[in-house]
Amino acid sequence: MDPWVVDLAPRHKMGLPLTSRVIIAAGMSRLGFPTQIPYSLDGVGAIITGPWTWAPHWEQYPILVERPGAILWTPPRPPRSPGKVLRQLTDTWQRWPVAVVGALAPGDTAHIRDAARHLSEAVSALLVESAPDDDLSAVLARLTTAADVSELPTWVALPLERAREWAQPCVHAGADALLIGMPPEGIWPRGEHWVRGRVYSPALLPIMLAALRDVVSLVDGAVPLIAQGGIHSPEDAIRCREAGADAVALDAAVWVEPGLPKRVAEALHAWDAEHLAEEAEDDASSHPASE
Amino acid sequence: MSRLTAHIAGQETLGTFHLVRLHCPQLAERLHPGHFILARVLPTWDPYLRTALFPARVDRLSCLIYIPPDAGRAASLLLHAPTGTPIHVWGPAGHPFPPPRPQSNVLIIAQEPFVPYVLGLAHTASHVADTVLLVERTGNALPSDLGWLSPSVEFHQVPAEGNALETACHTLIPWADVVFVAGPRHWPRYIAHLLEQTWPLLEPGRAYAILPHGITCGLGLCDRCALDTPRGRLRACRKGPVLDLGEWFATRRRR
Repeated sequence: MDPWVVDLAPRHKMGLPLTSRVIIAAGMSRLGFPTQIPYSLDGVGAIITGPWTWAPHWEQYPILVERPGAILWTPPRPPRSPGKVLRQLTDTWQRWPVAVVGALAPGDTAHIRDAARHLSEAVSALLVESAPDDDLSAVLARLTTAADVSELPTWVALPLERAREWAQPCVHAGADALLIGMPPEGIWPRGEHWVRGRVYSPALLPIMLAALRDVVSLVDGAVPLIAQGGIHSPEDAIRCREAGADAVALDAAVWVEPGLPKRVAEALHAWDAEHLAEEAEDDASSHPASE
Repeated sequence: MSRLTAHIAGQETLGTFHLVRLHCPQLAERLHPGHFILARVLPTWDPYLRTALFPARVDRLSCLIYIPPDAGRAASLLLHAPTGTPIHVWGPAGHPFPPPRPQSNVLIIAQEPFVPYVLGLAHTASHVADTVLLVERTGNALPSDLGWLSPSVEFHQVPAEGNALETACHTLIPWADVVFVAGPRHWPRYIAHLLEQTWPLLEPGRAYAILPHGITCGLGLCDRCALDTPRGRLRACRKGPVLDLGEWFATRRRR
């Protein structure tokens, strides 16, 4: 039996076949050290590591603020010598049964070129991310730079609030898959300070599903779509598949339920089997064999 | 670590400490002193990532979980939930205390607010080894009668003022084969220093400290439990919460 369940870069010459439709979103595995992963990799098709940057920066520890039903999270910045860390991780990733996708931290094209060149040696695909104040031209510039430097498939993570507006231009610029969407930015109080980060919550699911349905009709199957945001149960993942997503990216839900990826993968597998059987029956009834 | 559903079997107090009894045989049989669990009252999303809680005592069918005063809303939800309320639990998590060797001399040093973290250990150790619990009293949190402690544990208490703890440690450490520690954030380094004054070398496997402070997410994400040691920075929820003092805090090394 073919172990590949889905190809998340069918337009690319190499493709990106995965054994499961379940992906772990960027930041959830931090940089991708096995000791940093607090959930089970059973049922996972790919993890997104990073975001990575080779731009000079201060090391920053992660920020986590918790409220009932949601967290605000800022991942730690990559180490100040990312090349050394990446060399340590490459051996580990090559032994893993899952694909690793490298997220490129937002930055100017020179830094994107550096990061894409380094990561290409270690990962199976690249993911272009955007900062909250980015405009479309900045994201397209990063996408074309990453695609020029690297031979790998390149995905683009669309912010939830701009997914409809940016989807088609990204597809035309050469994105191999779209991720819908990056969690919204939040500013929350922590003690006497205000902290900035991305908000993760099951409450994002309906917003994401609405954006996903719109993007499905806009891109019309040109590229695979990956749903991310508020997916906290196998039923949520099936709703994403029904809405047109080819894969789901689990974010903070894997911290809430470390065994969730396997349950979601099993549910999606069962849904696919049922759905494909129905399609086959429909085909058979619409084209009856001639006597 | 696996997901389980436990049920509240009652609330108890030990002096001013609040404890919740959870009925969950599957959890109880795998939970050892030093482990922690990540718990949330069903069916809310509060707290989203669950709260890290430590067992004070474990028996065959249930465990007595210590609810520290800084556990936030989780504390009030657990303390006021009626008997039978289901709880979502992930656990056991972390590295527990190693079981004491039979016939050995076990010294447990704890500051008063941290005594619940080593009660289970004292109870378990007293079955197989000579066990001394040395407590630095910082208030009146513990009950004055000793009914809360296994009668086979020798109990010493010293005031927090002056250097009473150091004096008691210098008397008891030479007797001990293994030392377990529960105290504030600076205690692992402080007790390692006291041990190095008494023992020629603080070797791995002879002294352990539990670091429950600031374990917020319990998953290695927030870095609130990060601690700087002579061997580098570590996150207590991932490397601990029980750390080998000889491995992490020894300042002298065998040549």
